[in-house]
Amino acid sequence: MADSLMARSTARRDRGESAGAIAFKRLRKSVPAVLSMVVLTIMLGVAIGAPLVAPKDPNRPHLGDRLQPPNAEYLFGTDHYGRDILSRTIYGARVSLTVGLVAVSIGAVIGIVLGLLGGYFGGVLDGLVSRFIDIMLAFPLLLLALTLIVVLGSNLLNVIIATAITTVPQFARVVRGSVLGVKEREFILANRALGAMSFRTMLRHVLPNVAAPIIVMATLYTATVIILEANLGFLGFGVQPPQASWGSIVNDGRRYLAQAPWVSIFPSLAITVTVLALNTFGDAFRDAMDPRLTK
Amino acid sequence: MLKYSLYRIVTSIPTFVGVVSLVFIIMRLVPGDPALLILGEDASREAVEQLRDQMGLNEPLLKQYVDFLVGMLTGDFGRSLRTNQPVLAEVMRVVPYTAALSFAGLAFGSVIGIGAGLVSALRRGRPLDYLVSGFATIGVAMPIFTLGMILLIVFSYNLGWFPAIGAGTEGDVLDRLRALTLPAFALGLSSAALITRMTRSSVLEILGQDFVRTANAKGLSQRVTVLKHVLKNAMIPIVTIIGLSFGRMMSGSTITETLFVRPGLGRLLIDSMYARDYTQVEAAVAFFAISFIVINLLVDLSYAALDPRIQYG
Repeated sequence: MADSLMARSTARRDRGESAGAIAFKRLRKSVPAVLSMVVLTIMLGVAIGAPLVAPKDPNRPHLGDRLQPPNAEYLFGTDHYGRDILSRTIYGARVSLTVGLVAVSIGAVIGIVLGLLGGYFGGVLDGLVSRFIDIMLAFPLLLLALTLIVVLGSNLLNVIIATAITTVPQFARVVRGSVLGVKEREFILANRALGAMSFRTMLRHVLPNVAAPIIVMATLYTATVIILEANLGFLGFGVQPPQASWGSIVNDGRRYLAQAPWVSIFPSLAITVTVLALNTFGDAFRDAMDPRLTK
Repeated sequence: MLKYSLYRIVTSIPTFVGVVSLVFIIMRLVPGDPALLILGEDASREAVEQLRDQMGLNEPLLKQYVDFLVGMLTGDFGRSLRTNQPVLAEVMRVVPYTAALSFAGLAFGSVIGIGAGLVSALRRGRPLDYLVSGFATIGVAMPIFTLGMILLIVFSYNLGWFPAIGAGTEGDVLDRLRALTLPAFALGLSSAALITRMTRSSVLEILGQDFVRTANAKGLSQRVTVLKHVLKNAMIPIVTIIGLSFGRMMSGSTITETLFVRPGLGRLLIDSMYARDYTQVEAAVAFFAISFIVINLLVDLSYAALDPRIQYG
């Protein structure tokens, strides 16, 4: 990554700054990037420190306080069992963010391996990888995840597996495309001419040069997976009670939407804010990494 | 163009077969015996064996697979485990609802998205641009059920303009349209956000080109310049994103049909999944995937029609 970006911005190189440092500087100056980073840090902090932050036990029913509108005692109101929606939303962050981060990490690793192998070695291997990508991409995301959940059964681990599988072809496709572009560049050819081993060239030289689009994509896909998981939860195929994700809390409140909209609306807002922050950060990051955009 | 179309159609056949095979494999991985599922836990061993024979479950897997492929080609997707009716008939019964929803949603989405994106690009850096871009950014981040719920709360529960559930009375076109409005709007707004962003950036890129300056210099009115020169040239990425929105529509229709309790392919899929009616699930998933392939193909083919510079051969 560093080589290619620096080669294109020679002015910066004269000052001895690495491309990573330039990107970081730009990110720090970007208001949306900083704001979204703050939001994400808060969300993550709340998820990790849920037992400390949540005012009540998320699963404890307060039967005398069913479907209470937001008030001083229950800031986000209560659901049909009288459970505190604020606490449920805070604990829900744990499940939703875990699924997002873990699923994307797994999907990215498998996708990167497939994309690298296909793009770098070509031939039959590439044919197989490309076919696999085509077939998987012929399924709308939600549909593929749903089908996998039905087969696997719905619990946290299977939700992660199903959503991870749906992201694999997306990563594989982007990595494969980037590898095809990098593969023919002079420094890779030079490496091969010098007799470097294929695998070594692939890992040491090709992979770092396709890292930027992968990082951007991972950020944006974390958002996609969070929405995907929310959709699964909304349809009743998410994690099983008493565990709750943002999507499944929304689903709990669906029947009471007319009398008690807060049950569904607050977790919905949590999803929207998180996804908005992830998208904004991903976009800002992409701009910061783009050497053509110099101010 | 014809040659390219044929080429694309032929090359999508392996994808098609792959998709159908994947559905077959996934559905065979489902734990439990379908025959036992139909007959219930108390069924006698002989009855289960007999039904397994009838359903072809005792055949070798390869023969089952070939039968499955032949069945698909001849339109025989098997019978529902729940109702014992042909699953394809059930799919066909609900497809019109989903088709109406998707097309109405796409129409809303395209009109709003292209319009808002164009206005935003032409007023770049002005308050209107910030307003539109802001809404679009939030819209992209909002799950479709959130949009749907907000619409429900405002326009159905509070204002009472539209029904909250159902697809309207059969035969009453006005009632049908009224019931279609909110779900289609929810579906449309969610893709409108994406289309707005794509239109804005695509139009901005074209606005900076020489031929636009020429058009302005030779005194064309802004309307003519925008419609005949800018929009036409900005269409390819817009059409791509509209095509991609179809995938979103399919996932989205599943959510909207559930939220608004409307009949449709998505609703059928979810209900069959709840009921563990695997043959029906198989048919619905296959139908979704096949329509998705066909739509992607159509989007690809439309590029050539939009941009004469693209030559296939």
